[in-house]
Amino acid sequence: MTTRIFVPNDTGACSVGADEVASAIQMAIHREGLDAQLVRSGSRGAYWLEPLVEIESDEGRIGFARVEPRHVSTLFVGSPMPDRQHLTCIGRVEDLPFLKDQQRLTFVRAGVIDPVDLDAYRANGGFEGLVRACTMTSAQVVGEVRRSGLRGRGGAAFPAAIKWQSVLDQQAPTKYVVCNADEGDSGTFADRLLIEADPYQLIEGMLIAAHATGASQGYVYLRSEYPRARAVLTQALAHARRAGVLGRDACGPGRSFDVELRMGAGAYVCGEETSLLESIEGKRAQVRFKPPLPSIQGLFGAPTLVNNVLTLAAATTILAKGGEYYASFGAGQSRGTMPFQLSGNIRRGGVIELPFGVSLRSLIDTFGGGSLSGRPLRAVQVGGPLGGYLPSALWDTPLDYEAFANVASMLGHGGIVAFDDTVDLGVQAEFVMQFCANESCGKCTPCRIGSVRGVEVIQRIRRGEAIAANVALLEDLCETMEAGSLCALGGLTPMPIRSILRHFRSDLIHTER
Amino acid sequence: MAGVSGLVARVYHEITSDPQNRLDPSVQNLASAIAIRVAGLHPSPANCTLSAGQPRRSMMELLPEHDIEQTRAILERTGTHADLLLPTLLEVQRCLGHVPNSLITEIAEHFNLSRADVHGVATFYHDLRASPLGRRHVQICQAEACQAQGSRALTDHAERRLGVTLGTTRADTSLTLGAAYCLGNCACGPTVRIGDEVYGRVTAERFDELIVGDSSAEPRT
Repeated sequence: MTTRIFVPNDTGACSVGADEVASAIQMAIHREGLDAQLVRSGSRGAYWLEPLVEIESDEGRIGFARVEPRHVSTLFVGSPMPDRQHLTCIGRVEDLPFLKDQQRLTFVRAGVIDPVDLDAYRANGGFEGLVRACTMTSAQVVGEVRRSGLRGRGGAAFPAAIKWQSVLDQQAPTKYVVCNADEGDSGTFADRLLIEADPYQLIEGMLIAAHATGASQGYVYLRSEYPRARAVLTQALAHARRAGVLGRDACGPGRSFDVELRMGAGAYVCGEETSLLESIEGKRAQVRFKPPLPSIQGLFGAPTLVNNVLTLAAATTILAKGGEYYASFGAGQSRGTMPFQLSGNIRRGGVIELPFGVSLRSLIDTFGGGSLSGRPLRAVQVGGPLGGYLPSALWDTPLDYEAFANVASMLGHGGIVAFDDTVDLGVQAEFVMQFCANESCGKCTPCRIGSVRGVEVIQRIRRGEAIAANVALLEDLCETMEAGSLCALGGLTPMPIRSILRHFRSDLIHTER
Repeated sequence: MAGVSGLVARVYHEITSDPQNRLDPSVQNLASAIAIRVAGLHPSPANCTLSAGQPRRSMMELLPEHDIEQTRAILERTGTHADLLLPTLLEVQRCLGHVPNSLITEIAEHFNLSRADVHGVATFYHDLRASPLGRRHVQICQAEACQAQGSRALTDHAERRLGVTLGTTRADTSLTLGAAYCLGNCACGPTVRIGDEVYGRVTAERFDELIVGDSSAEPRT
């Protein structure tokens, strides 16, 4: 039997040489006359092991980690199964604690299959959710999502079923489903991994959402920083259309649904749903006033469901296995699983899908294995650039939405960035204000002007000028931005700054000159 | 000739990078045409009539008319719904390397929009630019996850190695060093993007390897 050799084809793996490893393996297959087939899979999200080569065996897939092209000649000597004593061998991939200890519902196929192979998707549980949804009425599908307790995974954690119900309730000739794949937060990459490793799951999720809301057209708004995700999704959409999964009668007789891919152009604010809609309409991506909510008057004035990639993906599990099953995971009001993304100064970074409720510390220590530099970790930023910096005293906080809100922080999209003790949080405070100034859409004054003034005030504080007065001014400015900004960009920029003032005050405030 | 090229390159860069954009577009285009003819400067579009890495444009391709022709060809295969404005601007930029101000009218007329509308969109998005980049676009991620993995030191190294500061183009237009704010490769940082290729775990040594082979990226003495 032909042995399959899997080499990931995603941004992370290829950024550290997976393409070169794949060509070396292809040449070795030819040279050694091996009965083997090279398959480009997605990544498992265990990025610290990439390039991770997996080879099929009777005992499951055997992994070879951090493979370099120079290893290939010693890996494949007359046989497609390398010696298990090879220095890169990590044994059975499924036994790896980093993967075994996860609870994967969404990322179950990631790294296992060829992302654009529709048959492989079907054979591994794909479309089960859609098939079941098609036997149900729209209201029943929304009911299933309600029972799951699913909340928006983009960061705002708004109950998904309320949005779905609201779009379903609208009487309109045209409705839209828009997938927000403008994953701009630093330290987050789960949307990208899902699109690159299992794009049909997103397409299936959008089809379920279309069936539930009565939408006839979908859009995926993908950021331009993800060229590989664009290539994979473009290919997957083409396959899905050819197979009749998308297009005419996709949601049953007389109910068409297709998905168009739209690329962003480097604007962070497009992650905000109303500015994203403006951008799809071809305009400057300025935030809209709400109301009207997008679910009532969204894209081109029509009722529009805007959901994050992971929210739509979760819908496939919820419909396949039932809302109760999904809700059986998690803690408090945070139900289901969350793909946490661990990165920064950490030994074992990657996507870690777990039920809500585990502590931040267990993620950093057990999965992450501590700092990469070997120095003590000092601060962990959770929830992207606008999330708080947490000191070790708060690392026992359970990872759920409410617990993080209680420590004046947020889970956001699940990005976790670790910093060792060389970090200067004063620099980080100035950085986030500058970031807001660069990315503000300009519509509201607190964000547009507040961020510029914020940079100046922080610079004065860091220089040691009139500290008491400037700190008071900064706190006042934070309050204005929080209360007066139109969207989360201006409204949340003060969050990391306040966390630094609270927990790392001496980094920002040196002695007065 | 080399001296002339250098001079033209500097003048060209001065003109096209004028931040206030005070210059008449026709002057910019003239500068562009001269720069391309004398110094062989051009952006590196992919998959258009011009292919990346092509050393020189033909005479026809040197002239502003060529930009207009390319743009017309794009507009011809594009519908007139205003929502297609952003994809169109991105496509124009993919082919020409930038969206020259001189094309705004042509594009506005196609979509039945005002020039102000098109200008507004073209200047809103960070990816869109009115003047060309260097032939190579090297971006270093400046966001938090890469900062935690040493992107600031890497950026300092790159600036020294390439003789440019972040966000600027070398005078000979061989290379632009830019910032990126997250390339989604956070667990394999520091991350560098060159064109559409993303590189992870980039040390100073690896950075030097990545830019080797491009003689224009040799260190400044």
